Amino acid sequence: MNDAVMAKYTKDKKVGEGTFAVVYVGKQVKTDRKIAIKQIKEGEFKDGVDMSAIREIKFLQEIRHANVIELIDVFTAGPRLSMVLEFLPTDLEGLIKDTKILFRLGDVKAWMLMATRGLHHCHRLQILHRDLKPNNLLISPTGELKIADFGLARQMPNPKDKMTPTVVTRWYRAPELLFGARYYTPAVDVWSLGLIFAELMLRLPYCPGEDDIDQIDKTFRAFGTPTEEEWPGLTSLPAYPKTVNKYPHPSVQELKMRFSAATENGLELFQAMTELNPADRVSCEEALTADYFTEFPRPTKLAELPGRTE
Amino acid sequence: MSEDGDICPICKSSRYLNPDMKFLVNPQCYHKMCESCVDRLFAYGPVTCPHNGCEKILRKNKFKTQIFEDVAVEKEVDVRQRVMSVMNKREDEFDTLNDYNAYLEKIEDSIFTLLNGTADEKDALTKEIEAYEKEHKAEIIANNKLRDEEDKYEQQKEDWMKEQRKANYLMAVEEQRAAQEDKEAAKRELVHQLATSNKDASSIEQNVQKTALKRSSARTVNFQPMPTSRYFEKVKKESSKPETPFTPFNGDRQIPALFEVQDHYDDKVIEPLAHDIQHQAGGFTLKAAYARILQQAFFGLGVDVQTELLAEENGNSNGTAVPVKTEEDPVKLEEPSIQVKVESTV
Repeated sequence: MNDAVMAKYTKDKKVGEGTFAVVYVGKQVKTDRKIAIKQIKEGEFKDGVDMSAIREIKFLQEIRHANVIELIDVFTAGPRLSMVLEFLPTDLEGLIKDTKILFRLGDVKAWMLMATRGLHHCHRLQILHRDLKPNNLLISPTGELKIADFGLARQMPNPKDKMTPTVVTRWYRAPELLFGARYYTPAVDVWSLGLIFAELMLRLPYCPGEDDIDQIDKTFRAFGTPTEEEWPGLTSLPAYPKTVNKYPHPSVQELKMRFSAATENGLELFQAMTELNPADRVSCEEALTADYFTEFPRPTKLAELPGRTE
Repeated sequence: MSEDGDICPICKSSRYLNPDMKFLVNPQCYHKMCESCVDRLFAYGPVTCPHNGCEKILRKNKFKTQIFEDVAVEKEVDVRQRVMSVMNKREDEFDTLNDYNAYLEKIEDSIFTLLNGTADEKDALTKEIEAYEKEHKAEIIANNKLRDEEDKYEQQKEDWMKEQRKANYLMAVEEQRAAQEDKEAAKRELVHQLATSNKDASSIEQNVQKTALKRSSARTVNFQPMPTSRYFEKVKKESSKPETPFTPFNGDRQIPALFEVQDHYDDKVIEPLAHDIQHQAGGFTLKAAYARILQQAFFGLGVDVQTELLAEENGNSNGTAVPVKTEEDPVKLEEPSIQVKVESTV
């Protein structure tokens, strides 16, 4: 049966290699559809397969959404596990770094909308992504944005379940994670999305911390230092630093200066997504109904978005 | 240049005595004076215009060199610049050409009013423009950026065309030279073959002509395609066709849940967590926790796998329209210790 699955696809060319996997492009023989094959390397795991591969397969099998990468098939070749994924040639990080491309207001809105829709779907299936960053938001040949890389994803915890706070790439890590919270919520993903929003507007990472300590300082500098009243329990979190620099919360005027092209509704959504106290942060559902998405200009249509290859 | 053009109307010094003299005007009233007068009169802050009968209060930093000799032209250019920097909508923002033309008309009307209108009209329009600018700041900035980008591209295009024209000319010259050479070579070849070969003369001639033709057609001119910019791809809009209304969830909003989350449950397991400082700080809220547990318990209910499979077999699977399901086993979650009172609304 495994060989039958494998025979359905061709493996044409190696396109990339990461720490955990090698990626090839190929075709689905029957439909001639372009696909990507992610072949998991044999890791240090003595018995069984790499944890992140298991996570990725487990969750992608559950999710089918226009804004989440599609897992088409899984097969093994010898000891190696291969995932057949949708072919997505571009990612958002590449677009942000390509200075030849100008982002219009509608482009940023369209990407934010698609990312939030995808994340909303994950959250209602009770899946935490825990590694959102521009690098993991891929763009399909038609311009559609898709959330990928579920290697750190996790089922939302049952009450009392402890989780590890060392998740999410540092620059996009929510403050509660920086302070070592073990009981966190889907709000950690919303924070990452908020920082991606800022990065799309600025074309630069908003809080590029050099290490975990610097990350806390950069976060406070950008969003202000929270107090115990604003965020009950803050100082008793395990990794809350003994001394912190006090920065004021940025005023609306200050934010307008930082994001000169943003509209007021856009800044409002950005602030709601990057609320320091996770209990106050918006959910994906609330974010999707924000005025930002309905005001002028409309989100750019797929056919006019930069980054499409068709 | 006329005599009085070279004499400052304020200090009466003339260019004859001071060849470096520069005349400046202030866009408030456009009265001319020399640079040293400006320095002298406005050194200590705003003062009224020194011209007879002019009551305008002028500031030093607003003075500028006059570009056009005619003050009316200078004035119009200034006003136009100001209006265009605010009313800078682009053609592709309008549905029809008529709408865009009407907008251009409006710009011209505004400029005319600002130049020739009564004081009240001018005042009202200035305020209106300021209000508009404040409200649409983001769009204006974005459009200005886009315009700069387009100008830059236009410049690039022009440079490219120039280069291309030059290249074409050089290529044409080269080709002419090569063609001439070929012709001579063919002639030589023909004579040579006629002299040495013992073939039929007409067939030799045909042969030589054929090779000459081949050679000339091999020298094809290869043109480079014009570089394109996406700002140039004109977006074609069908004005009559309305756009689909915005749908935040892309038609995939959560179907109404089969349960309703209560404010309070008689519960001894989860409720205490709300008082645990570690949970609180991590963003834990009772309401969200209960909602999640209930959702887990109700996962898969209302999903008919049979119909879904059938739909998929028929090729019209609509992954987004079906209710949410996971393979989460609901039984596992109903631990006896969690006493959640569920009041279903069905």
